[in-house]
Amino acid sequence: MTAARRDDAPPGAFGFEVRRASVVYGPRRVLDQVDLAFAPGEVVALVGPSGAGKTTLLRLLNAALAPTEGVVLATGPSGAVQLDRATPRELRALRSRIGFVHQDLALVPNVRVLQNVLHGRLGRQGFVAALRSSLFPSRAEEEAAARLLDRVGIGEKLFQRTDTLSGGQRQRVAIARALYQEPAALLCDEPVSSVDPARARDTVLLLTALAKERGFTLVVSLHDVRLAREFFPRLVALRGGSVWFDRRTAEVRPSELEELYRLERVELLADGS
Amino acid sequence: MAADRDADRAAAPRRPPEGGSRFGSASGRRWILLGITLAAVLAALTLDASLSGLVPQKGGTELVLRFFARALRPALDYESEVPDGTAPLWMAALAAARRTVVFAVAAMSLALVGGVVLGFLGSSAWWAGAPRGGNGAVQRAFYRGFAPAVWAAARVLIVGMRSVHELLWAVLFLAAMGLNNVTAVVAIAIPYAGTLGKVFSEMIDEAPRDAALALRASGATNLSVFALGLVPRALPDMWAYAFYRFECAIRSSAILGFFGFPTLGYSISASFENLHYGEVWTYLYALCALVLGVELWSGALRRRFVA
Amino acid sequence: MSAAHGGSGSSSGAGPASVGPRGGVALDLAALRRTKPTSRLLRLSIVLLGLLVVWAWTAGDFDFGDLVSERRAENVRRFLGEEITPYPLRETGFDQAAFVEWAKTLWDERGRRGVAATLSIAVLAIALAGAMALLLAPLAARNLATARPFEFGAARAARGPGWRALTTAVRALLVLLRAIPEYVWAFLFLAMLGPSAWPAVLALAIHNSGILGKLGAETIENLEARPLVALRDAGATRRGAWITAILPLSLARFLLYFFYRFETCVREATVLGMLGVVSLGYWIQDARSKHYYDEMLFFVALGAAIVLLGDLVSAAARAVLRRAR
Repeated sequence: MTAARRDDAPPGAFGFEVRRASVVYGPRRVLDQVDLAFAPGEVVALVGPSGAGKTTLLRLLNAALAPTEGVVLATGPSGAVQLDRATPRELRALRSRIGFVHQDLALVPNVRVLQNVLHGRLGRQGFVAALRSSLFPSRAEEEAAARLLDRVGIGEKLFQRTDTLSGGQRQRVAIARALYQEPAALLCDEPVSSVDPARARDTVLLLTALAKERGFTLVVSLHDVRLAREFFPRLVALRGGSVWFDRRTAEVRPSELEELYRLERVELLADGS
Repeated sequence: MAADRDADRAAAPRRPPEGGSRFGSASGRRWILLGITLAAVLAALTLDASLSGLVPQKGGTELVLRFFARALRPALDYESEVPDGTAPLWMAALAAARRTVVFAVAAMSLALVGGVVLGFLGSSAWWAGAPRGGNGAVQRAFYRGFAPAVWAAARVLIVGMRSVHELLWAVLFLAAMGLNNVTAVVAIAIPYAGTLGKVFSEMIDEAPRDAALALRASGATNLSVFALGLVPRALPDMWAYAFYRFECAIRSSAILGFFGFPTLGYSISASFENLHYGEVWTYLYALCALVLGVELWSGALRRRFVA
Repeated sequence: MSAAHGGSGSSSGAGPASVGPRGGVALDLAALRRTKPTSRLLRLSIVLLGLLVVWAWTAGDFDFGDLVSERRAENVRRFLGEEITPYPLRETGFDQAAFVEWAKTLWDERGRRGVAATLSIAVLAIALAGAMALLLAPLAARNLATARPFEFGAARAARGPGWRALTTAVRALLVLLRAIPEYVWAFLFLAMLGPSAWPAVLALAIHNSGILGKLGAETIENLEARPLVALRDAGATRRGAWITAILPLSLARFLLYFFYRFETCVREATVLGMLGVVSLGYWIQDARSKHYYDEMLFFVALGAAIVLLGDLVSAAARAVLRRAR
């Protein structure tokens, strides 16, 4: 099944368009009138202090969240789909092509790495097929998962129980699971927040290399501006739920970034008193 | 019963107690202790349970002494003449123990099926699958009307099955049908299925949902999310609890012998009534061995998987 | 499933043993598969459990033919059609006034007393069990029953033989107390003490002190050591630490278990009456022996009701405890 999927996987990457989208929780405007567009195949970093709305924006893009106001569109080769108007079937099809690496990884800890990787394909399987491949993975599925794990550098962990892996290795599993979706877009929420600096660099390098190699759209939220500047051609800075700036990395002045986080410090001081 | 389930969790490292209540400043606890004491006094008065009731009745002291004297000296052979061709005592004990296990295993196999079905249908996670976005009218009607109805029916069934003790189910079946071993099995299976259903549903609802949400976000069907994202997280606890209930089922199966079914209880009551206390202890130790065996088995499994 | 592979329809034996990703380093899948960590214990257990189930149903202890025989069917028909109908209603058909009258008489004559006795037995028994467990648990807790409490690692392993013997003996006692079912204990006590509420109370108290003692010991062993070590180093005696720190720290959890077991006690107290103690079970057994199945059903339903009541009380108490924590 896996090998066949390679051929019929739609070639194009997804683009996203966010039009005047706001997300309101009670009195809090987590996102406020955000206008953004991500072209198919683009590689973008979301930066900004914590609480700026990065996670919320990512969750809008895979329709885990519907905007309170405004519109979110996903554009694929077959046209644009408005996420909050999509039928469950459309939504499922769409989501099965959008990989999401969660900040807390969201793996099932007490099954093998193999099973966690195979979970990436659940969006395109019925229940019976899903149960079968989870309980009795076929050789082809094992090979496909092994190939992906090898690509992210932990091929030898294929049959290990997931909770025996280190934090960095588990993160690779989460990435492999997303890759197994054959994603048209990959969204990563603070993928390096829980690993040491050297590993963080490796992970970001891996993600951007994979995006180039497989041609999917990559949107990564990052707290670390240095990594963002080093690996991403475009930076979108969020602050307080609004777009602070949105530029080619080369055009971003260091002073602007300093200001982005200086304001955070001021806010923290203000909150603390 | 549910206590042991918590005991499984007690094995996990405890969160340090929060500052304020560290040394028992909680007043709720004091009231509860007071309530327990008062209730106990009231209960003693209601029962008219004077301490004189603890003095053994005529011949009772002697009986106590003779009975416990045999604790360290269980019978190795029958304590009275038996007809020729009767199997030796150890074989009789073994046969009764075998039947006890057979009844318990058969009952648990039924109870597990019922418990899993009830546990799934009675958990809120099973019904939490309404997909976001424009639902069809049929789906909406399903989730608004049918789902809560089935959920409520499962909860009512769980409560009803649980609230009648297995011995009372057995007595009801005896009255309705007469003695048949299958009825003993069903009598154990009914309340056990209810209890398993209750505990399984709680375990599933308490399991961490992060992986399930992630699978849903990647387009998995509700059933896949439930079975592959949620259930595996609750499975070690469910295993451990099912094993604990298996241990209980062995005790229940033994006790059903007091009602005429051919398990250890039957042998115990028969020997006791014949004043063959050594034989009673033989059977009691056989029961202890069964219970302890299951406890060790489940303990070994738990250390391997829950640690 | 693996139809993707041109000719190899089945998943077994398909594909080469070694996969060459990106044409580079070969990942030896077959070697990985060989070193796959598996639990022999789990596999063996699953197989064994499966065999046990098959064996249990086929070992010849169950006569399904008899179960569906005409005689049994006739019994069930009579039971459902006639015997469980309240006696005054058998001739007349359903009549609410007569039914209420019948139920009220049963309640006044026996039900009320039975319910009160059942609940009292349960309460008294669990209170005694709790008290006994509070005495036994510290002796069974390995981190407490030692010369220098709350040491871990090497110091903990170096417990003296005296302490070791004590915990072992207490733990063995706890096993014996809980391995013998309360029904058997009650049966024995009844023969010794004669008919009163005590056999049931003692039986429940003994069995549950075995369970609560074990759970209490585990609770103490799972306590965080640091504050207790600090207390000890500050010069607290063992008894002082028990009263000022350990008891309060572990009491909340212990009380949770206490109330879980109380639920069980209510269930069992009903049933123990069948041995001859005046709880609901006595009246159930009484009606049963007289073949008054209508009355029997009434008392069984009453038993279910007080089990629910016990569960509600326990749930309320546990809610209070959780809030207090």
